[in-house]
Amino acid sequence: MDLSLTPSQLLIRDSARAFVRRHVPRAELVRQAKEGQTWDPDWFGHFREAGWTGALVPVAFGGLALDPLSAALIFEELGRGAVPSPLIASSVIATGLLSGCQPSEQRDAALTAIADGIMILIPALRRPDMSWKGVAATGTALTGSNGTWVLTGSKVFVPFADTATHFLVSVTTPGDATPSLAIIPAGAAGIATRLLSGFLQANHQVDFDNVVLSETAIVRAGARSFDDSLAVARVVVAAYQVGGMLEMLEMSVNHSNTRVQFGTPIGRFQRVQDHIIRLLNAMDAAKWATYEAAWALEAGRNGVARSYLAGSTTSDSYFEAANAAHEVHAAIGSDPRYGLTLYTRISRTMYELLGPPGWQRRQMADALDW
Amino acid sequence: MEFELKYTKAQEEFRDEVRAWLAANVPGGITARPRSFEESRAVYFMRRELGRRLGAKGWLYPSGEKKYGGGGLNLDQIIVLEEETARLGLGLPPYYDSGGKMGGASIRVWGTEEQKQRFLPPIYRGEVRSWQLLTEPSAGSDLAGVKTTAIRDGDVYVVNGQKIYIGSHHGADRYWTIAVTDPKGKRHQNVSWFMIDASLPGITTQPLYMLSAQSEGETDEHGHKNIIFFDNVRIPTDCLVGGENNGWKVASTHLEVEHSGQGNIRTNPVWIALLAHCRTHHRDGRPLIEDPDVRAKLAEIFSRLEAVRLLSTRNFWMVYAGEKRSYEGSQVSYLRKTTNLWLTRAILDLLGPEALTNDPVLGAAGGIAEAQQRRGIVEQHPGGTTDIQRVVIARRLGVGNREPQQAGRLAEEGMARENPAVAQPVEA
Repeated sequence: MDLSLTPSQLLIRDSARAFVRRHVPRAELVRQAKEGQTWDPDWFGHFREAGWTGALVPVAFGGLALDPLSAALIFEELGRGAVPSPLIASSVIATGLLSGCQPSEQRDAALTAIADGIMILIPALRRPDMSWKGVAATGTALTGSNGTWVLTGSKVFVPFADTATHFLVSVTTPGDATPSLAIIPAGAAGIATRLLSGFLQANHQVDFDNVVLSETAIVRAGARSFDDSLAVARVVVAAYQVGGMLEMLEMSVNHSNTRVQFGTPIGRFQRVQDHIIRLLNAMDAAKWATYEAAWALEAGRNGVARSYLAGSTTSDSYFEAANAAHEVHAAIGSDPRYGLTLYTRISRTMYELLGPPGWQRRQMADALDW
Repeated sequence: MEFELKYTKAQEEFRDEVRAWLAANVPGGITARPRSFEESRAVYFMRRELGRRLGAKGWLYPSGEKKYGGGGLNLDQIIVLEEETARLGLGLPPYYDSGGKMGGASIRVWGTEEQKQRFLPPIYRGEVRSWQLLTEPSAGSDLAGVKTTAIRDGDVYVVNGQKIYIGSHHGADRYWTIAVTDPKGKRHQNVSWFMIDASLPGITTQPLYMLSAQSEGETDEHGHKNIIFFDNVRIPTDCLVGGENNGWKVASTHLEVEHSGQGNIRTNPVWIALLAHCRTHHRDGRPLIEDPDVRAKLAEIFSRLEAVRLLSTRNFWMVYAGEKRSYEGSQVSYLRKTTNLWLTRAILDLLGPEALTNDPVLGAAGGIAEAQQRRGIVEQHPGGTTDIQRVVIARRLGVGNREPQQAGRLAEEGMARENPAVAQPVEA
């Protein structure tokens, strides 16, 4: 057993950490959030130069094909910086879905373009009329025949839809029981995008009104289920959440040491310590579930089940950690100028990004053959 | 013992009167969620105007003494008024009036007769809106550690300092505040309370938008707070309430009200909205309420909220029945805050991400669910954090071999005993 990071993994982590420290000051994030700016294209340019847009893309398509833990370490640092970007949606989730599909010219070209950073492929999956039962259950029925299809319907809670060059839409073709994915240019006729206001980070509703698709737009499912194909994505998303918890822990400890009430730093009070320990336990449980899942995927040790454990644990933990951090900070933490609410908002937005925690636990049980 | 509210004929007649009056006087759109600053201001003015009309009838502060402009109503009538205004999604007062509620309650107990005659009628008639000013940048949980000073200079006090996380939107007419009047005095023996004219020279206000604000300038009253600065503000000495350096005793009444010591008999409006949403909203081809998982989660939410409702009802009864109180106020405050935070995740599990948006189409329960997600966090802290409430509970119980601390005095104590209508046999 060796739970340490390899030198190359440390290098990758330090590189991501350096980027965040140099380019993403919290004050700038607070300013962007206040002004409703959802992402910074300059930062995305850096991701492209660093190769992170192709972190999970096979080498054959120009990607880095990083091992799950190395990829997770990049996103842990981005999560620690609360860096908003379509990178998770496009280079993690869409890439994961495409990687599990049958090879095709369309699929391979998309993976190449994602790695090059010239395509931002945003998954548009969830339907407004259905609860979450996995990606396969989200397909919107296409109409038409002979390889010319028409898509009409809505997808909701689509992250960073405003950044999309293309959408990756779950669909079902007539007479086909197995759902497929359609790669559709974001500027295609009949597509409208609406930002969903509220306690969310950059989520949208995307409406498709008689959008005409050719057969070449369709990418067919492979042998693995869509949700199994997302195992690495689940771990990387979890790592982003772990990063957020690490930062909230540091903010909370610092605040407890500098905020003085009753003539003493509040960290001296056991009740404040209790909140910090609650945060710490949530963070560590999530962090090690994530690291082990990354290892299990690489080592072929039922990584799918472990990815569900990591996914459900981190969603629960991030929510809980944010609550604990707010207990430590009291009113100061609820003042958006301070910066804690950047993380709180993400903890809520990502709670169900790849399915509710309860659904993920049921998937884990199935994957473990219970 | 009787938990059910049964109404006398007189109460039902009063209810008819109240309902008819509200139907004639509550304007449409008064509970609408404002989408712009202009809408927010328009709704605020509607609420103030309704407050003045309620005040003219003595219904704005129904338990206040009639001679000071209150309603002088008995408990039976107050219950009906609470129920009927709550039915319309309104409270009493129908606007944020923390200084009126807590300052008024404190003045009733600690003010001189002259001060009661001067300060209470404008509050009770809805002519002024007042905010409480307690928290400072360096004094949150530690209220006795306030740094704002009010130093006597002849026939005025000169106030300097700043207060933070104050009030709501659209300003106030008066500030109810605590300040140090003896900088060299001992802790707890050096502070005093003042009811201050908010328009005095030297007072400036800076808006502050909390997580619970929808967005800057586009806000309801919950997310808009302020920083209030006092720069050599000269206030008449007759604005001092409860005696110089006697502020910690006055605070006991203020904090008792703020810590839910008065209780209430309201049903949580979020629960009402959730249940209605689950009955009317469809998912997977059926109403949400028919989904076994939804039913189980709803039942869990209901059970937790019922605990808060029951203890709030108990507090309400205890005050009006003149029962000796101890930890009950802080207990309800603690339970309400922790339950509301728990509720954020319960609602998210129940409804999914629809609970995170106030989008006019997708937002669950007309956006009420989304607002609860933010308020459940923000409202952990005003009026004392959950940690402070636990300290108060422990001290009231005498935990740690201490003499049990007493609950703060309230003017409504024993009101039902003095007016026995509530205990009379109930008519069919």
